[in-house]
Parts: sequence; C-alpha cells; structure tokens
Amino acid sequence: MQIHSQSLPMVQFERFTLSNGLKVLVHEDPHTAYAVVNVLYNVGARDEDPDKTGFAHLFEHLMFGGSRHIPDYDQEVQIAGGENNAFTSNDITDYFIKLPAANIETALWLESDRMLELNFSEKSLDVQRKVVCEEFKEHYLNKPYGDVWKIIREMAYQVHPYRWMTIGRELSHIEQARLEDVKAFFYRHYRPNQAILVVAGGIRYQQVKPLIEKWFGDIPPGEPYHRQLPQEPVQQEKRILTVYRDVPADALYMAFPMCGRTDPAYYATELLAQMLGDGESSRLHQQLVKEKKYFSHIHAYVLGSADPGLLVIEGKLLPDVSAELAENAVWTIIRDVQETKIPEQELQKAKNRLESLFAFEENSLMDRAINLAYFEWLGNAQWINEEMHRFEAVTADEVQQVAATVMQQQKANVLYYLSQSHHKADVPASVANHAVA
Amino acid sequence: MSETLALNRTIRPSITSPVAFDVRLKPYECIRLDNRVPVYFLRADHYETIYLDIVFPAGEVYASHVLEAATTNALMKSGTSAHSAREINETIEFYGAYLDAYAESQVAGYGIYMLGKHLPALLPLLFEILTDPVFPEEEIHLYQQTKKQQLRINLKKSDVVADRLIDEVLFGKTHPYGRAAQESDYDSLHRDMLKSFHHQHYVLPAAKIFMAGKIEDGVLGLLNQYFGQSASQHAPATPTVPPPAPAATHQLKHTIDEQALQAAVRIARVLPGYEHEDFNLLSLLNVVLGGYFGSRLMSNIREEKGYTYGIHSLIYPNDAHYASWLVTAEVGRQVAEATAHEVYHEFRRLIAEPVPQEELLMVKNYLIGSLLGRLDGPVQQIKKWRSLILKNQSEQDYVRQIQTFKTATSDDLLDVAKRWLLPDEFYEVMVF
Repeated sequence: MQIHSQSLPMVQFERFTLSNGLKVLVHEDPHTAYAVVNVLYNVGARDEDPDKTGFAHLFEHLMFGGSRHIPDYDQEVQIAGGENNAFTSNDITDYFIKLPAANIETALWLESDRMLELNFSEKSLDVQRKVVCEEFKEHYLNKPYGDVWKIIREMAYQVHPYRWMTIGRELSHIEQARLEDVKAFFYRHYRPNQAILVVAGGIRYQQVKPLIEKWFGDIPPGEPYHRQLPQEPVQQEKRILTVYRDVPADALYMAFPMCGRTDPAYYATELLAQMLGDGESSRLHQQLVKEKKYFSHIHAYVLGSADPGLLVIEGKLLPDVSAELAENAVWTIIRDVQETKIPEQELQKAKNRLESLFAFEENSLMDRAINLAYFEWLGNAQWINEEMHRFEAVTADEVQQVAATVMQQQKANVLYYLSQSHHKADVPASVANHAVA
Repeated sequence: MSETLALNRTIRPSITSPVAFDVRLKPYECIRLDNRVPVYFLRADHYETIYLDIVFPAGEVYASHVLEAATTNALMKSGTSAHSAREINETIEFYGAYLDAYAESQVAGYGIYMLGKHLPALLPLLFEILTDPVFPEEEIHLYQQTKKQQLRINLKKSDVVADRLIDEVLFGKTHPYGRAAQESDYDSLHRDMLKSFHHQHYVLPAAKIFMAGKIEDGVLGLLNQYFGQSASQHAPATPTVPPPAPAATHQLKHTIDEQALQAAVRIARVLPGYEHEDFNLLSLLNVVLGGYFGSRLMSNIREEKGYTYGIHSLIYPNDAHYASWLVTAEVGRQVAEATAHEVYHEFRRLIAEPVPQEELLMVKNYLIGSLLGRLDGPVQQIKKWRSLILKNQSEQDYVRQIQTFKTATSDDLLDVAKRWLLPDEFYEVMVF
C-alpha cells in the first residue's frame, strides 16, 4: 500500500532583512486571532568557553530580568494578554511570545528593547544563578538517571563542544558567572545580525512590516560572529563504560555519531531510527520488549543537531537480564537491518508517522513560527515545505547504507548504567564510576 | 529616519485590553447515531488532520481496585478477538496515527490523532479495540512487569512521591482520589477483573464522541456504521464518591534519600467542586496566588529569593463536589521550611490586603488572553466543549465564568480568600 503526502498544505511567508542585518519572516494565518513573535538567536551551548559552560542557558534566564527601558518584561506580556517562554539548545536560543494579534506591537516593543540592551544587574544575575542551580538539581542531580546525558556527551564527544549539556558541565560554572562575562556574551551574540525574527498569525504583512522597522530598525549591529569549533574526529574504536548508581533498574544506552542536520544523509538516518525504535511496532520494541522480554522499554531516536549529532538507542532492562546479553541482542537487530533488504511497507510506515507529525505541527501556530525561524537559521525557511518530500524520496537502500556506515562496532559509545544495589551493594556510587571494560 | 530617532521606548504601545474581548466558543454541530450516541464535532477543512475522542463513563470512580480503570483502558489495545497486539500496533503506526488512551477520574476512553484520509482505514480497528478487547494473559504479564519497574523508578523521585502522599493525606488511602498503586496492586491484577470492568463500563450507548478537523462527507456515516449499531445491554452504574477522609495531622515529612539536594513541597486543601458558587472566584484567586509566571508565589519564591526553578498553584476539579487546591514546588533542601513559611505568608497577605487594582487587571488580562489562546485551533476548541459537556455544563456556564473573571473586584477576592485560604486548613507534605 502506498500513501503519498502531496496533500500537506504549504506554509506561506514573506521575508526581508533590515539594514542592521536582522532577518525577518512574516507568516499570515487568517484562521486565528492570535499572533506569535519568535526570536531565534544564533547562539547555543556549543558557543561557550569550556570553563564557563551553561552560559547560553543562564543567559536565557537573564533575558527575562528586564531591559533598558522596560523594567519588568513578564508584566508587560501579561498585561497584553500574552504568554511567553524560551528554550536553549546546544545550537540555538529561542524566545517566543503568544498574544492576541491586536496587541502585536507590545511583543515587538518588548523583543526590540531587550535586543537593544539588557538591564544588567547584580541582583538579577544573583537570583537567576540560584534559579538555574535549582533547575540543575531538579532535573540533573536529584532525579534517577539524571546524569545520563552528561556521561553520554562526554563519551561521544572528545573535542567538540557538544560534549557538555546546555545546563552546563558543573554547578560551579554557573555559580561563578560574573556580570562582565554576561555583558560580553550579550554584545557578542545577542545582536540583530545574529537573530531571526518571525511574526506569525492573524496579522497582515503590510501592517507589521512598518512596526518591525519602527522598533528594530535602529538597533546597532554587532561584530560578525564566525563560529570556529573544533570538529570531532572520526571515532575509531568502541567506547564502553559502566557506572553504578542508586537506581532501581539497569539501563543500556548506545550512541552512534551521525551526520549533521543539513547533510543529505540526515533523512535516511532519521527514518532508520524510526524503524528501529519509534513506536511499539518498531523492530527493537517488538523483538526485545514483546518477544525476548529483555527490556521494559526501548527506543531509538536522533539528535538532529547542526554539527554531527548522535543516533541513540536507550532502554531499561528487566530484572535478571545482563547488560551484555541485552547489548548483544541489540547488535543482532542492527546486523539484520544492515544485511537484510528493508521491506517497503516498513519504510512507508516510518514516512507516514513523520507525515502525521508534520501535519499536527502545522496545526499549531507556535510550532509553525518556531520551525520557520529554525529552518531559516539552518539555511532557508522554505525548507519547512520541502522536508516531507525529502523524507519521501529516501529509498530502502539508502536507509540500509546509513545503517551500515553509522552503526559500526568501532563507532559505538555504550553505557551500562547499573543499579548499585543489584550489583555492588558495598560500592558507593562515586567510587564505582569508572570504566570496567 | 527622523521617526526612529524620536522613538520613545519607555512608552508602552497601546493595547486592546483582553478583558474587552468577547470570548466565545465556536458552536459545535451535533448528530446522534442510530443508538442515540451523540457526536459533537467541529469542521475545520483547512486542516489535514482529524482528532476523534470516544469517551465512556469508565473512570477511576467506578473502580473498586486502584488499577482497574487504568489497566482496563491501557490493555484494550493489546489484542481483540480478531487482531493481536502486534497487528494493532502495526496498523495504527502504519497509518501514522497516535492513540491517547486515558482513564481520568470520571471518564475513560481513546483519543486518536490521524490524517483525515486514514480515518476509513482506522475506524474499524478503533471499534474493535473499544468493543472487543480480549486482554491476553501474556500482555497482562508484560504490563505488570513494565509498570512495576516504572513504579520503582518513580518512587525514587521526590516529586512523584510527594504527589502521591498529598492526595492520600487530603482524601484518605482508600478514596478514589487518594489511593495510589503499590507493587502488590499490580500483582493482584487479573484477566477476569479487566474483562468484567470493560463489560460493565464500556457500554456503547453510554458513550459520547467528540471530533474536530477535516470532517469530509461520509465520515459521520462511517461512525454510525460502527459505533451507532449496538443497542443498549444494560444501564451504566452511577458512581458513589465517598466523602474525603483527611489525615489526622496536617504536616508530613518523608525521606527517600538522605543526601537529596532538593525537597518536594506540597501544600494543599480540598475545596468544593465546580458547582459551588465560589468556584469561579477561587479560580481567579488561584491565578493571583500561583497560576502564572508573574504570580505572588513565583515573584516571591523564585524571582526574589531564588529558592526554586518553579513554584505553582492549581485548582484541580475532581468532580462537581470536590476540588483540590495544590501548591507545588521542588526547592533546595535547606530552604524547604523557609519556602513553606513564605507560601503561608502569601496566603495571609491575600486574606489581609485587597489585591491592588493594577495587579488584578494584569491577572484578568493574562487569564482572558490565555483562555483565548488555549482555544486556538479546532482540537483545542472541541476539547473545551468536551470539558463542559462532560460536566453537564452549558455555554451559559462558560459565559458566566468568563464574566466572573472580567468583573471580579479586589473585595470579591478578599472575601473568598478569607473563606478558603486560611493556612490552618491546609495540609503540608515535604519529601526529601
């Protein structure tokens, strides 16, 4: 059975650039009385100094501490009936406001003022340092399996700055952040020529263009930023690490270096991950959860980062299944996908699942705005309308080819994350944290 | 560029106050299938997607065993007379559909997100899942294993443990709103229990159907062909919810990790449910207290003191008669007591001083704006209708609620705060 996806609607937009270098996209949606203003800054955790990690994310918090002419950012958003938030990844920092379209100018006023100049204060820095430290504790230290990503990143990346998480490598980096570092970071990265502004929703291009020129036009540009990051050398040998932690169940993680987001092989890699481990009918779930009963759950996914990312398989083991046995079972499935022709039906299933995801994302004004900014940042906002066709064009042979290149023993980063109480009752977690294989 | 030079950034652009907006729900259409099952739907043909939700009176309140409702619901998709779990998963995933199987306190059912073009292929399978599940022993066993492991992991999380404990403290260990599953509860699950619960509570004529999106010709006929044909076998039971049996002491401390860096703090009380005359004002007061980013709790405990990444309060409407008012935060271990102290301090301020006009206007604007924002798109709109219809409320009740939000005065809020926000009437749980 073949299902084709020509039916997805196109996302229409207009584009212009201000003289200070700010790229602007306007997307009209006559079906809503809402509007979204999204600002993407070309800065993420990979742009940080290795001794001052967590900065891009800490900075995201500071951006809500008031700007030069507007002491309380959130209060103004709320008066206009809006909601706002932001996120930081290893690649980008993204801010968004959703509010009634009639109040669009409030959002432009707010975003332009904090792009112009932040209200740098010791008080704001001091409080946000504490808040981020609590966030660090809440999500990465106080939760079972909370340090998994710290370990995997440090295994899989030896030189590239993807080796630390956006929250930072350690609490002390955030605790020691100084106001002068904050200022320098702002003037290096938070300039109009490093940003992409998307205005979307129940607005008209003719109406918002003058408002954008009014509020953003006089913000001075910054020095051009040329990213020069050390690129990760090709991994030549398998890395395997065992850690013991106070967790109730053993877990297995396998991470394989893959291409970056704009590489043509990205699409086949995403489909490969889908086929292997997305959903209950996927190969890993069907064979290792349902049939062999080695795992309580297992799934596979890609980190679609701008620089080469990771294809990750992760699962929790059922009691009395050894991590070695479980890992070998995963390798059997990997070999199978490498050596046996992939059925068309299975590939089509992966494409259909992506098509649905796209369709539901396009239902959401917020997702459309964020995606437009993201694709423009990657290279061209028009790609939002071409993505599904690129997935459609992938053949079973291409997926198999990617499986053969990416999922090799000597490119695997394997983490056995074991329950301390099941394995080594007498070894404290801090001592047992070293490689055994 | 003389205009830009004259730009005065200290003057906020003029706004249309959201309070002035006319908040209206897009009217739904409704048909009844041959067996009288109602279908409430919103057409939005510029979308490619359909959301379809089939709701039964099969929620937690009907279950005598803590896991009966949730497990029955979860395992219905794990095999029918005609199809194995594997075949069901394969078909749903092949068509790129996403199932949302849920058991809430009153109702349970299946929501499905799909591309409209796949509805004819998926509807027969959905019908099978809802009307003819067989609950294979092997699938039950697998479910028990997985869930027990998930429970063991969750019991290492202070926030999860605190959520379980506060419900138990408020309602009592055996109350449908207070009970929490233990490992032994998973062991006592068995096939007859699930089959019997399904037979009793997934009765088709008692279902309600909600739908939004690309509803083309023929869709309603297909629904009738599958879901409209089974006649009534028996009337579904009416649940009896016992009164809450709260704990004797108001404070509970629990330790799961001596070295924990953070404590989970919960401060809560039972309120009357959504039929009570104070309910709408309390909902507004809750926003002032801890329901938005600029709330009293966030301003004080996060933005002033930096004790936490986030602190929130919410009113969870259990049913017409009972609701829970809940303050939640994960805070530094050393400042748990100080946090609780500040929370009660904020209660006392709301009891003692009227909310200033400017703050109240901001809260109203935020609330009306976010209510409008949440109605963005047909799926959100039909979900709002679903919520009203399942509560036996009309559009008038919704209009009245919005009207209360728009017209409430500081004195109104002071008045309900004095009745319902007395610190001594709250219960407190801290998990380290």
